[in-house]
Amino acid sequence: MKTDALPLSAWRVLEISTAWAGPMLGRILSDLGADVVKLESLDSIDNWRGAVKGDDRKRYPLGEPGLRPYNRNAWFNTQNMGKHSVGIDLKSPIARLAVEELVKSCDALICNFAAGALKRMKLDYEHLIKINPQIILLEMVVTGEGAPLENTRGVGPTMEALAGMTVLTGYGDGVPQRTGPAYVDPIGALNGAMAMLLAARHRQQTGEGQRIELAQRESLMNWYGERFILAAVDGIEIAPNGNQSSVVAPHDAFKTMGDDEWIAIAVSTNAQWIALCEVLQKTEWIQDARFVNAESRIKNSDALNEMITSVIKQHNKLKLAFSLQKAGVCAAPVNNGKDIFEDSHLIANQFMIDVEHPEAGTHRYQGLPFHFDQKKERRQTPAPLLGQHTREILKDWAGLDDQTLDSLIDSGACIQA
Amino acid sequence: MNSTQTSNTAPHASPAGVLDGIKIIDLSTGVAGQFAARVLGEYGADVVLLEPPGGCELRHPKAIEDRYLFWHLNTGKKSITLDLNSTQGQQALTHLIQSCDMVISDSTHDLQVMCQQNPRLIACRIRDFSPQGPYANWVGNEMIHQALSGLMYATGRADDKPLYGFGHRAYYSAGAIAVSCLLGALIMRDNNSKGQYLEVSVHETAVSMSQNSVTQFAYNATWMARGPYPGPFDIFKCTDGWVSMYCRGDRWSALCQGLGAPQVAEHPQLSSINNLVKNWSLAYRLLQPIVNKLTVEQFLAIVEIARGLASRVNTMKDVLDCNHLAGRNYWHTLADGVTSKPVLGPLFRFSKTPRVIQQGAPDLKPISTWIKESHEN
Repeated sequence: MKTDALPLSAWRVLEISTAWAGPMLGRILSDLGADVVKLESLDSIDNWRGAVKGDDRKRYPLGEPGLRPYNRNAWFNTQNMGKHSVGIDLKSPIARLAVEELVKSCDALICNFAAGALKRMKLDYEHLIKINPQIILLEMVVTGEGAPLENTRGVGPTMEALAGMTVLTGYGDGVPQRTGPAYVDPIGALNGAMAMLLAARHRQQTGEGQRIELAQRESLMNWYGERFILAAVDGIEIAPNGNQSSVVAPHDAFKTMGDDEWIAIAVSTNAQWIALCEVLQKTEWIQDARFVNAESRIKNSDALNEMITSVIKQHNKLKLAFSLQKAGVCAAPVNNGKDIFEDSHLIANQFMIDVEHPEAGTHRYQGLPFHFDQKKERRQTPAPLLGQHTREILKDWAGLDDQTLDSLIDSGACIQA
Repeated sequence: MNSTQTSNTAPHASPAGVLDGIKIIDLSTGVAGQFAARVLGEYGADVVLLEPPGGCELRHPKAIEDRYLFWHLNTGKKSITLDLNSTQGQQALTHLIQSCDMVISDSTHDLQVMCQQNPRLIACRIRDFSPQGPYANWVGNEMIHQALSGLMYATGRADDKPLYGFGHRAYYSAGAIAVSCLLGALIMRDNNSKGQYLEVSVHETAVSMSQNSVTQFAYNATWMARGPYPGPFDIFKCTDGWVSMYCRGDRWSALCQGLGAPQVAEHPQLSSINNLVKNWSLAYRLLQPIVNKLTVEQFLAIVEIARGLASRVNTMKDVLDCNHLAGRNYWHTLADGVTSKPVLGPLFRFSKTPRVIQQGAPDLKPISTWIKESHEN
């Protein structure tokens, strides 16, 4: 390994995953230097490649699924950047030797299939260590083994409900609200990255691999653990109340000019309140006894929000956010996908990258927030076509010859794009 | 976890930790940095939280929901108080930095100078916004980051305002990124003996978690909005609580059958998966009056038979009382002075190098006392 290489340079990772949490973890590991190979097949396709014949048109370039929709899905193509794809049927006895050779040659395997899936494929830890005693296995499951709910299956919105997160968001009318994009998934990926790096260092120091069980519900709960402790110690559960804060006001989204355009404003000090009044050219509010301090602003928050709303609807959300921030007020536009695509700060920091994909074309993708000294030299490659690297990886990693590869492909156990 | 259950005390005896021998100075004042340092401490690092006289801000929360935030973020650490506005304080910090491996800060400490003083140092600065670009001087908080990331725009009802959620989730996430950056830099240092300076942006972290918002717009100029999920998912009210339910298209018929309403599955506007996704609000209107008469357990059983996915929308108490978490020994207690407080289970479970927490969040301790005790030990 080069001494200035990225943390996981020369690491080989196999990925058996679907949708968001597992694939995002694979993308992160690739960003940290690993060679990540996704093992997939048409029969067990990543949900985010979409239905084989096409899915919701909002996922495709210009809304067109094309001949091979599974190679053109924006959702898949975001979370699988930088990886290789081996098209292989993991349940096929014919492909077993190839799978075992891949396991032998890799450092780690990550999986976010349902609990028990790896065992059914004879790829659980007990099987894996017989093939590769130093392997690190990271399994992302919903609830974890050894207790009554161990076989629980789930997707983001059901996992969040199970973990007590859904109940903490709402308008104050008692109706729980899910997060728009299921937040448990990227949180699972961030947890997976921490775990894999800890295990990687342990292996680097000792040569020892291990199994990591990442129960997504349990790791998610740590993201608001203080609320469980409050309930356990003091018996207090705080119901959500829209965007309102219990200690400062205003703290909310306000509708601005345009269709469904909003600005978020959080005033935490009297100085910020005065600055807000000045930017909105409503200096008479400064003297209003109902709003002189945080306590009174909270007490009179309905009237406060109504007054702010009446003024703000004439403003452009982005321009107003810049004016407020310049005056020291915590504010930001409530961004939709277009706004993030055009975000001047992210563009200035080269956080977003334009990447050419062979079947989807050249598009902008959001980056990842890891910045090492050496990273700038790394070129970002697109998400792989289904089975794009089958021959290459099975030759290089598994040591198969052309004749064996032809036979696997002819039998349908493997596919090459 | 309820009063009749015996909670666990965090284990003390342990195998060697992954980060044994790694010394960390935690200069952070907020959630992201303190969470990052806590996680590293759980795997063997020796973490010292360096606080101003009187303690860091999180020890004195204004919001009731943050009453135990400091405890949650600082278990396993030591604490020393140091006045960095004094010459002696600065000298003490310089001395500490010479012998430590990592330093984490979310304020104005000059970490790059520290890296010059100790070339093996791995220093991580967590900022709301990266220091170049139009937002360089912006101030952020949880709602601001969720507004910029796209999560807020897509959360809530279509006919109501966007919701940012609650708590400090963007900051916890930035803390997780900081952990990965620090561990990555440590692995690099193992290979080349060189430390490095790292920057983590809460803003970039939150955007990287916003599903595929940038790409979706790039591909076809559309974006995710509030309102119905792009699939047969919803939250249903039962007689005794709420249920979050997801049903794949191929299970839809079985679900309607189980609810005693096969005609809903045969409705011309709901009879294919594409129609079902497109007309989900109609499906919801037809099913909600039926589900409304069921208990949570009855509805969960019907969804289970149809091979759909569902969960009760659990309260904090529901989760605390969950038999599964008790069966996995998820909850621990640690001493806090003369009393004790709960600690959540690990983020992930290793077969060879498990998490270890030796003690609860630390009391304030002046550096003079700390030095004296260190010498005695």
